[in-house]
Parts: sequence; C-alpha cells; structure tokens
Amino acid sequence: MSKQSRISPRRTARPPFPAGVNPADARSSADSERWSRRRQDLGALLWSSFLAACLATMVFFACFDPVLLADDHAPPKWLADRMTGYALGFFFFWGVCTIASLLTTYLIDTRSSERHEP
Amino acid sequence: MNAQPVETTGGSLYAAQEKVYPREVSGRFNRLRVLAVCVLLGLFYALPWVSWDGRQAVLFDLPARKFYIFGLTFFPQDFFLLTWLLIIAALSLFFFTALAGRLWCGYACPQTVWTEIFVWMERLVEGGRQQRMKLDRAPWTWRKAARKTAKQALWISFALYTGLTFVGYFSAIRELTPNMFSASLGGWETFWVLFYGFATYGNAGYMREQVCKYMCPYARFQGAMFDRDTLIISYDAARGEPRGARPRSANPRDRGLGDCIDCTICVQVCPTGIDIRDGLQLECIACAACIDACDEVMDRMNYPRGLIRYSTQNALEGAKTRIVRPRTVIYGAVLTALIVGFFIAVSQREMLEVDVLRDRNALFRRLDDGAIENVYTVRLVNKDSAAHSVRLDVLDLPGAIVDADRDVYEVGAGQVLGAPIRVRIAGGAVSGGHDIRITVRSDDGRIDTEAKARFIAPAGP
Repeated sequence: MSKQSRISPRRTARPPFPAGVNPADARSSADSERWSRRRQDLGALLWSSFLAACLATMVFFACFDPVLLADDHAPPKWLADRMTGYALGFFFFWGVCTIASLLTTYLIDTRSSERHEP
Repeated sequence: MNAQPVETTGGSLYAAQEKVYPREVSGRFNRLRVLAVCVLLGLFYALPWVSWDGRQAVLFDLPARKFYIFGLTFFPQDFFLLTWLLIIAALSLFFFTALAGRLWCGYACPQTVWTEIFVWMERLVEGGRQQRMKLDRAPWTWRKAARKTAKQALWISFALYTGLTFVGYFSAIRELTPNMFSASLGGWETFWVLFYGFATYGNAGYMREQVCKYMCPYARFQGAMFDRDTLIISYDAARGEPRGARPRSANPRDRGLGDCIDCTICVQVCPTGIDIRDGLQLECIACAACIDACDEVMDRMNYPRGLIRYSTQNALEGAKTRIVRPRTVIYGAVLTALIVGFFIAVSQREMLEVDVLRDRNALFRRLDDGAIENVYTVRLVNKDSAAHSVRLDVLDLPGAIVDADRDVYEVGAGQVLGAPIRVRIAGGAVSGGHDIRITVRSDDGRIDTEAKARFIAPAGP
C-alpha cells in the first residue's frame, strides 16, 4: 500500500507553482526553459562561427606553417613561435566568422515585413 | 492537468528564465549511459598518459607539426587522411541516426557525457531534485553558501583538470602536469587550459541541454535521416490513452482508462523538459530517462513494461520494421568502403617520404675535369616508428653518379632530414634537360622509394 501511494498521481511530488505562475502557461514542454531570442541568436552565432573557425584553422595550418609565413621578411615580434601563430590564427578566423554570423543574423532579422513568413 | 513542475530561480545564470530540475532516474538505460560515460571519459582522461616507444602514445604535437598516434606519425602532408577520417565520422553519424535515432546524443556526445558528470557532482553536494529546488528557493544562509561553494569548487577543479587533459593531447602531459602545479606553465598552455576549462564549466554546468536545443546543428538536421523504420523513443499512445489516475487494484479497462497513470514522472526526469507523450520532438535527445522512469512505474503498477520504449513508427502502427532498407544499405555500403579505403591508405602509406629540391642558385656547374654537376637537397621524412638507414642513387641518367656527404643516411623515427647531394656526369655525355629519378633504398629492403627531379646540362658540348 505504501508502495502504491508513492506513485499515485495525487501524491506525486509536484511542487507548487510560485505565485503568479499559471500552471497551464508553464506546462507546454518546450516553453518551460526557453532562452530569450537574443540569447538563442548569440548562442547559435557564436557556436556556428566557432565550428567554422575550427575547420578553417585546421585546413589553413595544415597547408601553411606559421613560422614559414613569417620567414620571408623580418618576422613580426608577436609571431615568436608556432603556438602563438596557431592561437592568433584561430581567434582571427573565429572573429571573422562571428562577423559573418552576426551580419547574417541581423539581415535575416531585419527583412522588410512583407518578406516574413506569415 | 499534467502540469510540468517548473520553478523560477533567482540565482541561476538565466535570471527570469525557468530552470529544469531533472528528477534522478535509475534503470537499464541509465546504467548503459553511466557505462558509456565511464568508458568515454576514462578514455579521454587516461589516453594522454599512455606511453608508446618512450613517448606519449597519442600526441598532436602542434609546435613540431607532427601527430603521433601509437606507432604512426602523421605530417601535414597527411592532412587528407584527417579529412577522410572526419568524413567517416560524419557518415557513421548518419548511418547510426538512420538506424537507431539519436544514439549519439543520448550516450556519446561530449555535451551529454560531461553534463552527466557535472549533474552527478551537483547531486553529491546539493542532494536530489526536491532538495535542490528547496535549496534554490531558500534564502541565503551559511549552509546554503557552503553547499553552493562546495559545488563550485568541485565543478571548477574538475573543469580545470579537463582543460589540462585537453591541452595534454597537444603538449606532453607528463611535463605539463608538474609544470601546472609548480606554476611554470607556458603562456599559451595556461590560456588553453583556462579556455577549455571554462568551456567545460559553462557547457556542462550551466547550459547543458540548452546547447542541444538552441546551438547544436546536428539536432536540427537529424530529422532528415529519420524514416518510419528508425528506432525512436516513443510513447505508445494506443496503449496509454486515455490517461488518468487510478488505484493500483483497479482494472483500468473497467474505468475506460489506458495504461498511462498520468504520474508525470516521465516529464520530471526529462533533462530538456519535454513531455514525450506529445510525440517525438526536436528537443528529445534520446537519453531514455523517460523509458527507465516509466518502466519503474509500470512495474509497481504490475503493468507490462514498455509504455514508453525504443520503437519505430512502423512498429507502433503494427507494421513490420525493416532494418535492411535502401537508406541503411547505402549509408552502410559507402561507410564500409570509406573505412576499408582508409585503412588501405594508412597501411600503404610510404613510410619514408622523399622530396627533391633543386639548388636554386645555379642550373649546373662545370667542374675542372669537364664534368657537369647539379646540386639538390633530398628531404627525407620518416613517418615510421623505427629508424631507417638509406642509400641514395640516381636513375634514368646512364653514367651519372651521386656524390653525397655520406654513404648511408640514418633517419630517426619521425625525423625530417635534409641531405644535400651532387649528381655528376662526364662532360658531353648529355645535353639539355633530363628527367631523372632519385632512389632511396635501405639495405634491409624495407624502404624502396623514389622521387622525380630534373637534371640540366649545357645545350652544346
């Protein structure tokens, strides 16, 4: 009997809703923890540009050795070693990709109203 | 109403957002996931410590531009193999998705795996679901502060350790670890330990399944690989509906009820906060927590298990599930071909790569005795895990001899060696340009390779 009462719906641990929250509103599954639109956009654009930057860094530095890039003329001071080259290369790619993502997000967001899906 | 328990939180990173407190769950799929977590994380943390031939077995030595994977050494020239490997990985993902849905998400994705560990640490310190919700609602006391601090300390140290291990794949971990504790870590190494540590902390501690919902590209396109024969987590609506509460002793059929007792435990255990009874949803990461939870309830009610189960759309509708179907056959065939091709490419790889660079300063030199000489640098790249002793010779130019600094060149494992050589031929024997081959052979016959070059002699006698 005690076993049953633990799972009986009326006794199921269901914490009370805070004042002012309508359970019906909170019920819808996907809405229960929805990021704000801005946070969603930011997450998506940073993450997608991160992935693209990883790919770009990999391909670029498989073809070019950062040390050789600086070899032709007097190497810039900041390109002291390969680790610096790789790291700066990665953040350069990430930055550029973020700009592209940012502009894409902005342009998609600011289309004239008649082009939006109803 | 099957209201989902939702709380607003004050102290969470997402102020004004609602936080999901997944209820803990036990059962066979949870055990399977814990096993996967232990194996995968065990591999991740242990692998850098494995040695092979006196060096780290798996080391992506970026500063030296060499990748060591057990007995193999890879150079930037082998980049196509990495690309090949990534294509195999992507196609495997497609294949397993078509076959069994989001297996990757539920058991193998780093996001899932690290989230699991971070949730486990959270439970260790803050207790179960009810206790955590109570703790978050409660006003700040010393006890609450102590718990939160303990959790953060655990999370941060584990994240830093993860960052250190990650960097250990790129920089010898046996030097890295003592350096970290003696605070003599290099600048970039420190930076990447912190960077990866912070990413782990943020992703596994806070963002968790939100990454799957809002940031993961795979979550969006996995549906394209699904068909009616794909294994998905599904609620058997025909059996469960109409849902409703009932005493354990009652026969549900007498009351016109299905098997679902509407206890909402399947919703409470869901880390993405969805109700699987609404059907398959984009947010579902196929963790199978709802299956374990529902099976437990069914056991207690003495109903058969599997009201929520791994099933296919066809099976749910009473049709036959086909595992062998065009989609899986094509994915499987292409995948097999790629994997076989990959191993052939790796095993047939020249263990010693040879490049010949002509001396840029002079086309040819005429020696005192009238002989014509061309100067080259032969670049020897030993990709093998063993050293090789090789002799250089020239082909396709009768009468030519090679004058090298040494008879035998010893190229160590993973070593790159530049050997300057002079190819000489008696004056007047040839005129103009000739294609020649420089051969590189070891006495034991294991190395026999060659590279093309151009020999240039004066046009007239």
